[in-house]
Amino acid sequence: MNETEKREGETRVPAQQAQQPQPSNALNDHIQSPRMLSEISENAGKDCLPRPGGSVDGEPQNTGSAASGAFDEARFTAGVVKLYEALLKEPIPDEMIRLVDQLGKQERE
Amino acid sequence: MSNHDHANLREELVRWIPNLRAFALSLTQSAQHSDDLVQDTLVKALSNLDKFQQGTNLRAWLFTILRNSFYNDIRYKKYHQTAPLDDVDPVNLEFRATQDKYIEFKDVLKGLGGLVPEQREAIILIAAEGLSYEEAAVVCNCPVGTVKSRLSRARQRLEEYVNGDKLLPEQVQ
Repeated sequence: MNETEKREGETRVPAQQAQQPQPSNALNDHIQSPRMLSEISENAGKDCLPRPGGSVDGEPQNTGSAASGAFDEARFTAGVVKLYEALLKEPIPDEMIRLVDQLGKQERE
Repeated sequence: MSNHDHANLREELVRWIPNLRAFALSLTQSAQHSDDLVQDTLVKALSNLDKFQQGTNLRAWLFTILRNSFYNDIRYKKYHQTAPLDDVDPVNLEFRATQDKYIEFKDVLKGLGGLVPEQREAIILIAAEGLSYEEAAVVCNCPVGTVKSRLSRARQRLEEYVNGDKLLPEQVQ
C-alpha cells in the first residue's frame, strides 16, 4: 500500500473533491485543469492523429466541435470530469448511512 | 486498532461514499448495480477494518475492494449475463440523474459505454478521480504500464467510434 503514497506530478481531481476528506496521504494537492487522454496516455504527443479540420502540417487539433465529426478529446475529457463532479454531488442514500451505523454498532457489541 | 481508530475510519469511509458511487456507476453503467456494489464494498470494508493499514490510502483500498467485487460479479454473471465485457450496451445505461443531465452527458455516457470496463476505470481513476498512475495501478492490480496502455487504447477506441471505423455497441447487430 505504500506505493499508493507515490504520485505523479500532474494529476487532478474534480473541484468537489476539495470538499472530500483529506485521507492520510493528502491526495488532493493536484493541479486543477483536466488533462486530455493523450496527455495521460503512455504515448502522449506521439499517437495524435491528424483530425478532420486539423492543420495542413498534420498537427493534431483538439479544438473542433462535435459537429465536425472528429473526436474532440478535450471536450470528452472535460465532459467526463463534469459528469463525475455531478455524480459526486449526489446525496448519500440513507440506507448506506444506516448500513454503516448498523455495522459499527454490531462491531461495538 | 482501537475503537477510536475504527470510529474515525468509519467516519472517513462515509465521506468517500460519493466517490465510490461515482466510480461504481462508471464501471457498471447501472444505477441499481452500482449502489449494490457500493453497499457490498461497505460491508466488506467495515468487516475488514482491522486489515486496513493505518497511514495508507483509504480511498485506494476502498476502490480496490469495489473493483474486485465488480469483476467478481461479472465473472459470476450476476449482472450483464449476456454482455461481453467489451460490449456493454449504452441503450441499457441507467443514469440516476435527471433527464436534463442525462441529455447533457449523453455523449460522454455513450463514449464511456463504448469502452471496456478496464479502459473506463483507467479514465475515471486518473482523469476524474485524480489518482496517480501508481495509485491507479494498485487499485487495478496491474503494472503502471498497463494502466497507461489502457488509457491509450481508450483514446484510440473513442477516436475510432467517432470516425466511424468501429460501430458503437448499440449499432452492432
